[in-house]
Amino acid sequence: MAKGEYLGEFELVVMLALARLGGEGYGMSIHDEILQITKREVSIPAVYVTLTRLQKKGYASSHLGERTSERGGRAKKFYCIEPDGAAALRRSREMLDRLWDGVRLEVIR
Amino acid sequence: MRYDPPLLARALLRIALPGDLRAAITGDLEEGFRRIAQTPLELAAARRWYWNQTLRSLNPTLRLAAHWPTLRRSPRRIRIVPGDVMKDLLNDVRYGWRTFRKSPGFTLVVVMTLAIGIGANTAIFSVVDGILLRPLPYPEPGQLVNVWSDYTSRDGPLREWMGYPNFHDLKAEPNLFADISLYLDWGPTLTGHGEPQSVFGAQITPGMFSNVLGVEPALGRSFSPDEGVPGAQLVVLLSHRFWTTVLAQDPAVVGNTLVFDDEPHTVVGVMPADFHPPFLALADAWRPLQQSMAQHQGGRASALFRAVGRLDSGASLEIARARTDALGERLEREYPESNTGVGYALFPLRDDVVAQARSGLWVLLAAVGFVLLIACVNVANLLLARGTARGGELAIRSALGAGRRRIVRQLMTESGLLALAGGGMGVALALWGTDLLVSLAPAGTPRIDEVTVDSRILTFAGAVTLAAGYLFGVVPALKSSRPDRHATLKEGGRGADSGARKRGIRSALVVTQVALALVLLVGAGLLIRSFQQLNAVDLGFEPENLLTATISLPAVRYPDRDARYIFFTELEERLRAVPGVEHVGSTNSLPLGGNNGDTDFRIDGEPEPEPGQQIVWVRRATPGYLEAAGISVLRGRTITRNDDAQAPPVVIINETLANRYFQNRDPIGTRISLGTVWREIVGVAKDVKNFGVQRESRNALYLPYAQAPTGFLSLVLRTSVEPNSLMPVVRREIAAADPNLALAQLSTMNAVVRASLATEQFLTRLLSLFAGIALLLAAVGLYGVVSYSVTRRMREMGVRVALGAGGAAIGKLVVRGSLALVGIGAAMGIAGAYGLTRLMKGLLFGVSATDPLTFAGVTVVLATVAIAASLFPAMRAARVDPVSVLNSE
Repeated sequence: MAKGEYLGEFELVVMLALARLGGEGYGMSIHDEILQITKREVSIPAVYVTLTRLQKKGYASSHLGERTSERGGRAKKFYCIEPDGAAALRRSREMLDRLWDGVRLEVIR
Repeated sequence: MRYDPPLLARALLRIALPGDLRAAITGDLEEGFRRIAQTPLELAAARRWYWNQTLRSLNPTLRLAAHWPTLRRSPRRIRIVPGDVMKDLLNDVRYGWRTFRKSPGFTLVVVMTLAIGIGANTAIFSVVDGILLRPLPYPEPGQLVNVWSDYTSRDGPLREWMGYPNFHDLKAEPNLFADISLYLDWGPTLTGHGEPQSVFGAQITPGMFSNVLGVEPALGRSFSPDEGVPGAQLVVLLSHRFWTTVLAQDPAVVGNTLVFDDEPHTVVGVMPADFHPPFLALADAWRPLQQSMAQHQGGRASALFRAVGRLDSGASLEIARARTDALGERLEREYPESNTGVGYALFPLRDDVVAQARSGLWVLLAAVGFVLLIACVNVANLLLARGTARGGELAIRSALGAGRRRIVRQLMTESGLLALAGGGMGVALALWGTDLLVSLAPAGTPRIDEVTVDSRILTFAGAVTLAAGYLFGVVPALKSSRPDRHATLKEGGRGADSGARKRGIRSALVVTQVALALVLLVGAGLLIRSFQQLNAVDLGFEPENLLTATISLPAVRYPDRDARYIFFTELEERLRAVPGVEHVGSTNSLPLGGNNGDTDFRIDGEPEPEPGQQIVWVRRATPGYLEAAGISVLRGRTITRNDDAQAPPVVIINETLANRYFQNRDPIGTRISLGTVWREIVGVAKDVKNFGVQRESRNALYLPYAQAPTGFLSLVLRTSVEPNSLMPVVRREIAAADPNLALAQLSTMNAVVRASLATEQFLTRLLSLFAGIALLLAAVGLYGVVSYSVTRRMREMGVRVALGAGGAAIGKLVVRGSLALVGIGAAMGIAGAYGLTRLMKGLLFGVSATDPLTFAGVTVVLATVAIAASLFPAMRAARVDPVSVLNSE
């Protein structure tokens, strides 16, 4: 199985954030979501780099929202998960589950 | 209170972010910023956060830029990020510099190779530009034309000079020329300023400088129209050079009197320092040509004067040609006896004056272009080899995340650096080379004084440098940036060839090089053969041990033919007494001296021919001239002392005339007429090349000087000693005969012959030099590839030796491999040369552009050099020690 069928770590994080936000995902909300849950401050352009790649793979799609003054008159760019993206998430989770199955960390240590 | 994100950070983001995401990202950042910056206390934190986000955006942006080809399809394009490109560029430059310092030998070879290529191109281009491309340095230079008489339908040269009445009618045409002027060489002797000296000058109709060329004197005034009328006071304009060297820049020179040919001339002005009209580049003094319809030299169509004109601003060259054609036809009808078959021919002045240099210069430019291409191929090959050696390094960079674009950019930066270094040295080389070319250029090369290295030339050098950098950099960069990561890293980064592909490219490059070099070699070979043919031409006289001295007698002191005859007779007697002199004679037309006047002739007993249909070139000779010059008399007798003014008029004709008009009979005893007097043919002399070594002989005859003396003669001395050694004695004797005479030219005939072939020799030498460089570069390239291939195949060689192959067999294997490359390259080169050398046809004499001997000869030379170049690597291969090679694996 080629590597492309699974999501990379940051891709997985961004996809799951998108899933949690349920259609309300855009740069800042994704940033907040990741910050809140993983305590990790991500760079917003890095989020977009990943989103762009995901979109290219057909895992996500985007649309523009309306302009607001608190954003200096700029529109939000919302992202949602496409069916292929959902499938990829599922595959990744199954793969991780399979990998975790039977792993006992104290033995490894 | 509203706070805004930091200005500088926003500006940075504007530059750094791709267009289609810029609004979304800056919007997000602004939203985040405002959420933090609710109070002035939190403003600093908000700014910190914004800056943090901004700076961290630079790295992902770069990765976005790397996705450029795929993102390009989206409606808004990603901008290449200048900030990062600059940063990367700086890094690459620094890295490249370190790399070069680690391998100074490689760097030196590459930079020198490029410097030679770029320098040669820049130097030759500066000459091509100065001579062929730049407009003449006069206002509206496109309106300037050379005007010739067109003799196409007569038995003369196609283009001739002009008679005064024909010029007068042309000048009278309304709205055709703004002005048109005549000029005539003038070689007076200056006296009263130290030693008498001959001056090169011209007589010009008064409007030439102001109205035709549009140049005014730097000092004083131009000629006025009434100074061009016969009988007007004599005035003179001086060149800046003459004013400087002879008159020491005397500021009060205007109004002074100078004595030329014993006649006082009033100086009216000095021309600007940079004024050297290309058709009179050496002239130092000009005086008005005094002619009028009432009083003029020569007939209507006599080719006495040259003409240059400025077309009326409303007249294009096409219109002017149509109108002069019409005028020519009208004059033919009105003056059939002089103008039959004579028309006008107009040529743009610049193209006309540089015509003789044009094809040679283009060939040289093409040749240096080839040299640069070969140099680029060489460098590309070196870089490819280095790319292989650096495979490990590049594989690591790539494994660490450098994209292919990034590696290509780094390699191209390094190529750019090399090109820049080569270009810089090339320009230095070109500065020196241009000076050298100008100083070595054959005398009389038109516009050579206008050749300079300026911003135009530097721009050219810059463009060539960039093109060269791209040319030699792109293939190695693309190939080396695609290393087989696994293979290279697996082999411990020792450097491995990524297979047959790269080897194929290197071989293809060598083949290209060999082909290019062969084309150049063929070109040079053809010129060499042509030059040999020129030197083997029978000139019709003996140039060895021949000294010539040209003397012009001023008409004021030698007014009649008797005075001139007596002077020359006495001078010849004096010179005959000089030890080491065997024969002395004089003529008005030295061999290779060119134009000496032609005229219609008629043979006794034959009907009078149509005007211009039966023409002979007239030379005058004193008794002893034919013997001194070594022109053999084939039949009849030579000119003797008895052929004086009182004796019956006689003439000696040349072979061409004899063969053409006396096919089945003996010309001796027949009479011919050049006008009114019937002269008896008493001898037939061998043809002499008078119009240049390459030219066919024309009808010519010799008149005894005593029966037709002129004021202008060249002495010819046949010596039994080295002719140069007699020069001081000859000078002394002439000064003793008349202390106020200047020697216009004192030179050996060998020098004259050499000078007549100077252009051909110059071209041949330069092209041979470039071909030599090309051959050397190609040999180095071949050596590099063969040597590299031997290194790579050492193990294979070791196995072969271990299995019993002898050293000789291994060596043969290597040489055979390189000869295969050379064979393919040579075949391509021969095909290319076959097509390209046709363009050189005009430069070749006595050898065809596809001369099989030359083609075969240079192929042998190339093959020999190729074998020599592969011999060293072959010997290394032959000496391979199987044990050590196989152990090292």
